[in-house]
Order: sequence, then structure tokens, then C-alpha cells
Amino acid sequence: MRKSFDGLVAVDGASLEIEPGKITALIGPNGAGKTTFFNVVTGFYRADAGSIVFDGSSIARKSPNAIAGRGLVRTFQLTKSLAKMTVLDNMMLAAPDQTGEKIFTAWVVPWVVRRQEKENRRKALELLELFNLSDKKDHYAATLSGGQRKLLELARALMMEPRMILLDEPMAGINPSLGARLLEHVGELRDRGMTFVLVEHDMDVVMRVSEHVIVMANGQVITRGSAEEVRSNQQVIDAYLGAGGGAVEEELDKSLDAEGKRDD
Amino acid sequence: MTSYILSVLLTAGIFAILAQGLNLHWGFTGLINLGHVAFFAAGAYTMGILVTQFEVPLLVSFLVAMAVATLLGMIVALPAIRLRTDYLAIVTVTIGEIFRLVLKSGPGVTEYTRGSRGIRGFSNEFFFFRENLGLGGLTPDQYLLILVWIMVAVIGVLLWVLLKSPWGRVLKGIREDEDAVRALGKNVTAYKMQSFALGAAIAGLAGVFFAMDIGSLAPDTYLPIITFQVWTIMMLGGAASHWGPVVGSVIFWSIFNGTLFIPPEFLSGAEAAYLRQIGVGALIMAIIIFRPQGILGSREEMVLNR
Repeated sequence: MRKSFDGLVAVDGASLEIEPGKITALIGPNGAGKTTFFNVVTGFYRADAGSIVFDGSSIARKSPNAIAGRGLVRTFQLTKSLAKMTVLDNMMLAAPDQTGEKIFTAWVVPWVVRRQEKENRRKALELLELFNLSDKKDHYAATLSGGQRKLLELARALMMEPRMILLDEPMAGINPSLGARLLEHVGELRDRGMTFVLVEHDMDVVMRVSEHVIVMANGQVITRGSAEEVRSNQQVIDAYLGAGGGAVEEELDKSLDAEGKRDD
Repeated sequence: MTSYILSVLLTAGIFAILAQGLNLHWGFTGLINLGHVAFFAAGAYTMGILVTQFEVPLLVSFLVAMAVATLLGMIVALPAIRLRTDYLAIVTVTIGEIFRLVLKSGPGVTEYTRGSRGIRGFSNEFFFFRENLGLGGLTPDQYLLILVWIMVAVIGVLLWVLLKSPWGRVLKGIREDEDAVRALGKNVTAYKMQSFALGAAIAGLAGVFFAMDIGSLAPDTYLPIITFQVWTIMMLGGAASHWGPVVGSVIFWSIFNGTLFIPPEFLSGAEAAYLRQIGVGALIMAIIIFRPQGILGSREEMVLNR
């Protein structure tokens, strides 16, 4: 995959595969192109070149909603809870294939809509229970703490019954105990066969939960392997610490400068 | 006094319909539409042209008027739907003005709209029709007033049902964060288009009633000020509250027309007309300072930040 913004090349030929039913971490220093990679895969940006295949079919150039509809769902680095909607409404919104979502069937077949609403409500409450958000169900999402919003975003993604979830920095800005709970949920869902990819800065988190680690730097994949393998890899250490000498350091500085632009 | 109340309620009813359409756009979908007057004019002119020049039956002309406004809404939506906030505001305010100027002097168009000379004589059939309904005892104004307020209620209930449905939930989601809604698998573009089209159709219907009320059509009636009056009404009543636009409209027109009561010894008619503009300005300031959520709006929603 290749993606550039004017002169700035964010993803420069990175190529990677995700194993189903596992937790894969995508790590790398600031500006490595991780978030851009996510945005291209989920259809928010269009790749300049390359191909994206999910479950046997190409999803390159598809719209974000079409990609989500196929079961590849994402969360955002800056949590996108729908502030002026209740927690329960946030959840119900995410249910797929609702008859009541279409402008005509919404009022032509109220009994079908009511039945689906009941079912989706049950599902939503179950998930909220699981994520310890039940008592917040009638509160506006804006009143939740940062960590609770991250939980809500994950729970909301689960409403869609996805097969693969991309988590963009799930641990950023949340307190450690909520973070631990979030990771617990991710682990349990993986055990039930769901596939996860997470972008993370925090090496400790990555090492704890992921079976597979892919390291990106400067828009390319520099190495992949188990957490242990990656941890001791000299290239990775160089990429993070710039220990490889002036050249790497310079590169890293450049990508740090670019970071601000990229995450907008 | 009775005539004042009647005229306030009539104008207020028409603008309540108009504001209900705008509330769908802005209050519930978060689309900044500063060209609402174009849909209003489209409804009025379609009906006027059909009745006077093509002898189309009245009810059909009403339906076609709404259809044309819907179509215009969708055409406006095409470029506008990919734009956000300020850019959408710029495009829509421009479209409102372009539409008025085309009605006024568009080559080929003025054959039908008669440019600034305007159109007259389309309302007779409408007012005669009340005798078929057995409402011959009412004055034309009373008859129009009743029809308008029935439509205010019908549209209010229709929007109530739609916005309580999952469809309305998607619109509110788009208002909060359209990218999040895309990531949840919803076709945001289609929803924005539907919101634009439905709100425009509602404005088109208001346009038809407005034309009946004043009895003539002239392009310069449809100045951008109408759009801003509708915005004031919506903010006053409370954006995103179901009945806010209705309450806002009644209060707005009570104040606006209230200058009639100023005795001519104090202010001439022309001076009083300026005073109402000052009154509207003061009203907008008062809303923003004392009750930014509007009369029926929710304070809690107002103070929440994402």
C-alpha cells in the first residue's frame, strides 16, 4: 500500500497480513504511518496504490460504510462517542440492517420496527452489562469518562457483530484499571474467534496481549514476529530509540514533525 | 385586535412549517442550510405557474410544488452534501440568491415567472374551494389559517414519528459525528440527502400557503432575510426540540407585528418598520445571552461538549 499527502509519504509500500482469530499489534514510532494505514484500510482515505483484501474479496476503493458492513469495524484514536445521544442510543444506532433506518419502512411497518428495536435493545443491554456500563445507559455519552467512552466505543462496535476489529490506540488517555478491563474483553472476544488489530505506542501493553506484532517505521513494515522476537530485534530498537546513528535519528525527527499533520 | 391575532397566527403558522423543515436540517441532522428561502420560493412558484399557465388542478399543483422543492433540495444536496459546516453554509446561501435571481431574470425562465412583474390570480380557485368543503361561512383568512395549522400539526406528527424511529437516530448520529456513523456502516450521504429533500419538501408546502396568503408572487419577496427569520424562529423555539419551531414562530411574529400598536403620534409606519428590525436583533441577543438552548430546547444538551 502507498499513500501520500501532497509531498509527504505516509505509507510507503507497507504490506502485511493479519491472521484470523488472533490479536495483532501494529506498532512503530510516531509518524510511522499506522493511523494512515488504518484509515486507508477502513475506507476513510483512498490509497494511491496497492490492494486490500478482506475475507477473500477486495475492499480497496469501497466506502467506509460498505467496509464496516462487511464485518471489518474500527474505533478511533480520538474516541468518537456521539455526545448528545444516550449511551443506549449509541449502542442501538450501531445495530446492522435495521428496517426502521429506511425513511419509508420506518413508519410503514411499525410492528417490524418495534420487534427489531426490542431485539436490538436486548442485545445492547447485554453488552452494556458486560462492559459495566448498564447504569449509564440513559446518560448522555458526553458525561462518560474518557475510559468509559473507549469501552462504549468497543461495545458499540460489537453491536455490529464484526469479524475483525481495528482498535486505534485503545489505551491512549485512559486510566490503567479501565485499560486493563478493556484488554480483558479483547482477550475474551479473541477466544471466541474474533480478530483484532491494535495500533499502540505503549510497548508493554502490546507485549502483554498480542500474539503477533508488526512493526512499522517510515511507512514501511520493518519486521514482524512474536512479541519476544520483536522486542529483541535491533531494527526495532533503532527505530524507537534512533540508536542506529545520525541517519535514523534524522528520519525519526522528520517523521515526528510530520505526525501533527498526519493525525488530524 | 382580532385581525392582529389572525394575521400573526397565519404568518406564524406558515413560518412554523418552514422552520420545521429547517429544524430537520440543522436541529436533527446538523446541516447548515442558509438557503432555505429557495425551497420556499420553489414551492410557491411551482404552484403559481402550474395554476395560472397550465390550468393544473389545485391539489395536483400542491403535490408537484412539493415535488419540485424536493428535487431542488436533492440538487442542492449533491454538491453540498460532501461539504461540512462553513462551506455548506456558503454554498447554500449562494444557492438561495441564485434561485431568486433566476426567477427574476433567468433567460427562458421569465417567460413563466414573468420576472419582477410577478404572477397573480392563482389563489381564486383555492379560496372558492372552501365552499366545496362546506366551510363557506369562513372568511378566506380564517379558512387559510385553519388549513395552515392543520398542516403544522400533520408535519409535526410526521417528523415526531420519523425522528423517534431508528431513521431519526441515524440523523442525530450524523449531527454528532458523521465519521463515527460511517464507521458504524451507515450510508451517511444518503441520509443527508434524505434530510435535505424532506426538509425542502416541507418548505415547499409552506411556500404554497405563503403565496395564497399574499396573493401574488414576486421574486424579491424571497430575499435571504426570510432564511434568517426562519433561523431566528428555530433558535428562539429551540433547535432540535420538536415543537420549538412552532412556539418560536408565534412569539417571533407577535413581536414582529406588534409594532402596529405603536400610535402614529410616536412613530410613523416607516419608523415602526425599522423598530421591528431592532426588536428582532434584540431578540436574537436575548436568546443567546439568557437562553441559548431556546424556549423548548434542552439546557443539558446545550452545555455538553464532545
